[in-house]
This record gives sequence, C-alpha cells and structure tokens, in this order.
Amino acid sequence: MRLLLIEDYPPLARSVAQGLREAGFGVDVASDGVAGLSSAHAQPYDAIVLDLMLPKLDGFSVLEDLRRAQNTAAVLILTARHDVSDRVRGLDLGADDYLVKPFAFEELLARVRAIVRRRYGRSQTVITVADLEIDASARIVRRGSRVVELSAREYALLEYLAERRGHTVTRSEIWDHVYDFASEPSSNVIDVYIGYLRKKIDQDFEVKLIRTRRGLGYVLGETN
Amino acid sequence: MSSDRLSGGTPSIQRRLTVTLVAIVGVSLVACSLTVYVKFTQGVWRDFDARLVQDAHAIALMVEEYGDRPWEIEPGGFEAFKQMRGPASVEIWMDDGSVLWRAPGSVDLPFPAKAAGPTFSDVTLRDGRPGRICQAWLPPRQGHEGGVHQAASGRRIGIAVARQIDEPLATIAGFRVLLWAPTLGVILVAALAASLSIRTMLGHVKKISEGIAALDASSPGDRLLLRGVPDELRPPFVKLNELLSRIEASRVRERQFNADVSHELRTPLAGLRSILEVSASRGRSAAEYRVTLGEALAVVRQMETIVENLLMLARLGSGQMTVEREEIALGQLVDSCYAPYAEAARQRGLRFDNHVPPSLIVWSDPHRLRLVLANLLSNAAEYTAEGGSIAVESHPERGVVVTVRDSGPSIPRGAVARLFDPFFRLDPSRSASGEHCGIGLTLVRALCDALGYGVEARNEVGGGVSFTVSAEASSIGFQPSRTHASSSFEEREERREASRTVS
Repeated sequence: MRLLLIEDYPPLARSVAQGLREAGFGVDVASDGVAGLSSAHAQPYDAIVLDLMLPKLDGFSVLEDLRRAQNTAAVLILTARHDVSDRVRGLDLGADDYLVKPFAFEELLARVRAIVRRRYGRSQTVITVADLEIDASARIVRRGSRVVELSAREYALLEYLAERRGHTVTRSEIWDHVYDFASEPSSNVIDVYIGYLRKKIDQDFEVKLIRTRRGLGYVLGETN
Repeated sequence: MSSDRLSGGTPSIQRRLTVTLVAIVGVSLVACSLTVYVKFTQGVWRDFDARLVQDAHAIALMVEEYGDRPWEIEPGGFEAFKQMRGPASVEIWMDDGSVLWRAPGSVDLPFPAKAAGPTFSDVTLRDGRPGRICQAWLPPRQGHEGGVHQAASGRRIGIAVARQIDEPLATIAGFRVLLWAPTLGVILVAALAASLSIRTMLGHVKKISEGIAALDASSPGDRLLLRGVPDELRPPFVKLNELLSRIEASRVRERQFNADVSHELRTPLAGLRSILEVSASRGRSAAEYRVTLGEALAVVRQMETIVENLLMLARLGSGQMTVEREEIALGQLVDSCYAPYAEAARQRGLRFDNHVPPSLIVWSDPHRLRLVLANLLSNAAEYTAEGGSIAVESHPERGVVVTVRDSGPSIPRGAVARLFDPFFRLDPSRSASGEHCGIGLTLVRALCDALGYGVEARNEVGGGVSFTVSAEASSIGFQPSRTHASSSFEEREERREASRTVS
C-alpha cells in the first residue's frame, strides 16, 4: 500500500514515515502543501496523511483540491488543534478520518490501515481468497491450515493483489501501489516477485490462485 | 444591606434627599403661612378695634352736655346701643375722674389715661372671660335747652368700652385650621412624593446592582441592561459595561494565547512521541538508537526554548524582572548575537553588515539587549529572501538604539501592526519550525518595554523591512571618547541609579 505523508515538521515527518515504512507501507513525504498536492496528483496513493497547518498551501486547500480533481485516496487529517470545527470542516471536505496531535503511533497505524481497508470496500481485517487467508493487521498469511512465511516485499505484493482480488492488476498498478518496487532498478522485478509468491502460495496446492493475464497483468482468485 | 454597601456606610441617598426636600418645602410653606397668619390676625384685631372705636363714638353721642348742669345720659340710649351693636361693658367718666355712668353688669373698668387717640388693651371681663377694651376721650353731644343749642364747652368725656373677644378668637382659630391643615398636608404630600420618586430612581440602581450580582463570571459576554435607566444614573454603569467589554476582550486574548501555547507545544510533543514510539516498536542497532536519541533531544531542546520564552514573557509581563544596566560595546554584542545564524545565512547568500561603530558604548542590560538583538537578527536571517542583505545601525544621538534592516520581502500592509502579537505569523504554518515559535517578537517588545525602549517594524521605502529599537536620546549611551573622560565613577553610579528607577 502506498502512502503520501504531507507534514512540515521534520522530526514528526521523519519518524512517522519510518514507522509507516516499517509497517509495510510505501511512504512518500512532502513538507508543504504545494509539493504534497503535486505528488498526490502525480501518483495514485492509497492513503494520504495530511497535516492541516502547512506552508504555502494549508491542509484544507490541499484536500479541497484533491477531491475536486476526483482523487479518491483515503485521507487522514492530522491536526494540532482541538477545535471541533476544524475536524468537522476536514471531514466535510472529504477526509476519511482525523487524529489530534500528539497521537499514539499505533493509533495512527491502525487508522491508516482502517481507511485503506475501507477504500478497498472491506470491513474485516482478514482478507480471504478461497482457502488463502491474509490477516492485514497481524500481517500473517495462511493457505489452508499452513502459515506461509513471506518477506516484507512479497507480503506487500500479495496484500495489494488480495485487495484487488478478482480484478486484473496491471504491472504499472503494482509499480505504483507497492512502493518498494518503485525504488528497484530492474524492470522485471514484479515478475520475479510474482514467481516467489507462486512458489510459496500455489506450488503445493492443486488450485492455483495467482494467474497471469497475458499482456494485461495478474489476478488473484476467481475473476468477478 | 446592599444600599449600605453601595454608599459605603454614609446615610442613604433616599433619606437625605427626602429630608432636604421636605425641609425646603416645609420651611418655605411655613414661612408663607406664618406671614399670611400674622397679616390675617392683625386684620382681625384691627377690625375689632375699629368696632370698639365706633362703639366709643356711639356711646359719646349718648351723653348730652348742659353747661354747668350735670350731664345726662340719654335715657334708653344704651338699650338702643345694645340692640344695634351687641352687649358690651361700658363706663363713662367725667374729666374730673368721677364716673358719670356705668352700664349695668359692667366690670370695673380703669380710668382712661388721657391720650390723643383711643388706646386698646386686653382685660379680663367680670365673668372671667378675656376681653378687649378701648379707651378714648371724646366730646359729648350738645344738649338743647328750650330749643337753644348749647355752646360747646370743649370738655371731653372718658369712655371705656370692653367686649368679649370670643368672636375674633373663633375667627382666628378657624383661619388657623384653614391655613395650617393644607400646609401640613402639602408638606406631607411633598415628603411622600419626594420619597417615592427618589425610591423609583434608586430602584434603577437596585435593579442594576441585582443585574451586577447576576453577572456570571463564566459568561463574560453579559452586559448590564440600561433600558429605562435615567441619563444621570447611566455613566457608572456604562463605564462598568465598558470594563466588562475590556475584561472579555482580555479573556478572549488569554484564551487564544493558551490555545496557541498548547498548539505550539503539541506539535513538537507529537514529534517526540512519534520518534520514541516508532523507535521502540522493534529492536534496533545502537547506531539507530543514537540517531533517534539525537532527534528526540533536538525536539526537547526546541520545546525547552518555547517554554523558556513563554516563562520569560510571563515574568516580563508581571514585572518580576529587574533590569541591571552596564556599559556595553554594542558593535561586539551585535556580532556575537549574529554568530549563531551566520553560517546558515551565508549558505542562503545573505550579506551581513554591522555598521555600529566599534567604539560605541550603550548603557543597558546586556542579557535583555542580547535577547532583543538575537531575536531580531535570527528573524532577519531566516526571513530575508535568498541573496539579500542584513544591516545593523545605531544612532544614539537620534534616539535610535539599534536598527536591523533587511532587504525583504516586505511585510503585508495589515500585518505590520500585528507582528508583535503573540503567535502571530505571516505564514500560519511556521509553527515550531526551529527557533521561531511565534513569540520571538512578542518577547522583543516585552524586553524593550522592560528596558524603557520602544520598538517598531516598518516596510522601508523601496523595499526591505526594518526593526528599530528606540529610546530617549539621552538615556541610550555615550561615546567613550566624549563621555568617559568626563564621567566619574560617581556619575556613572548616579546614572545607574536613575536608570533603575526608570525601569
């Protein structure tokens, strides 16, 4: 899952970005409203963590602009103010959730996971595809009764495919949403990782869950 | 109770006003009535006396003079008199002192003194009742002797007429009732009316004091309702309302300040918490921990600066800080204050010119002045556009302690006046970004106040911004070449004392 963090206070931006990355998200950081907005327009992010008080362009304006441009990224607002009016305004402008500073990082993580989950139309934390189970909060994957050990990158790829289960996912979509690949110089890195995933998930089973759509991309599970 | 509290223990307005009003009305009415009464009484007695005189004349006509013969009283004359003029005690004397005639039942009336006109006096009549007597010497009627009119002898008879005075007394008593009853009535009514109207007026005060008592400390937007309150009573309550407005404004400012403070601290606190939580979320290498601790420490330092500044602001505001002045080489102080920002400024292509003469000595508090300069210079170093310039000047002879001038950008028009407000920022997001936590200039102003200086920001003609710290020219400092030679230690001590009392 790929996130954009727009926060101007460097210590907070650095630590939050690190924490989110360690939790398996791909994170881009922008330190002012204008930079944040142009990043958000350039990339299809799954979620945007947006501070309200930003240099150049405040958070409300960023949010307004995003929604006007039909950007559907889930937005979590960070605010240092306790005013109800700020939160109401943020939610009314199209934010999905808010968090008041200072916050517990765990809560931020849980809220980010929640808005991402809702964005993909899911209310459970566990995604099930046939007998494959992906617990997104514990980051545990099971096939049948067996726990499947995955690397962070493999997990991120599987989670994205699972979120889009039944839909064909193109390579460029994977490129955009699974952040780690974007930093990889090799062009066939996605195919390599699909290969790893197949080995761990499908090899020992009769029913193959990951299928290739030639010329299009990949699909996890039955096509809708 | 409440009226006592209002008047501070002095007699109540209502009582004082009522007594005064009643006294004035009463005294003037009584004086008026007294005059009327006296005039009326005099008139009554004058009429009564005139009647007695007429009686005397009528009685004189009853006596006929016959030369040498004994004089006679006209027989039946007194009966006619009594019929015509009512009963009276009458005595008639000859001028030799002998009683010529006495009316039956009359009292013993005194022999009339020989006076030019009639005399009057009060007597007690035979029946013990009070009466009034008229005594007069009058010529008798000339008798006829065989149709011959007797020549008048010129002798006179003394006549005393006394009457009961029941009638005039009754008239006067009646008049007294007629006069005094309404007078007293008017005084009473006046007292009542005065008391009532004063009570009504004071009722407004009472109502307002109840309004004041009902004011809720938690809703400072409340005001006293002055509808129907007379103009004369308004000023104190209008002033009170104005005071309430000022209190409300100050509370709003205070609340805003508190909100700003908590906001200021919340941002670094969020950073700190996030740094520590993320770091603690898994095992890390010593090197990673070192980096994390360094970051956390930087945030703590920043919070410390904010808290220290706030504390200093509070102390300055409550006048708890003493100012201790000494001789300061201003040029050196400017350089040392700029040093911490010099490297970053150089990287941004800023030029720095310190035009303060190295020999210039100012008489000020070095710690306070250092903070003022450090804040102004760090502002200039951070906000001056890249490639610009910063210049510092001092002109004690013109009352300028120091001017920090930069090449801009200019400050928006409406913002110049608000620059020194707590937490005011040209860019609202500039919160907690390092040194500038939004109270630097507020602190500068408070420090300048404590030092007896003024400070103002101005957009320079032709671009650029200047901050000028000013003071009375004589209080700023002195050129050592000029003043040091002539200023003894004692003189400097005097100056030190003087500056302390000023601050």
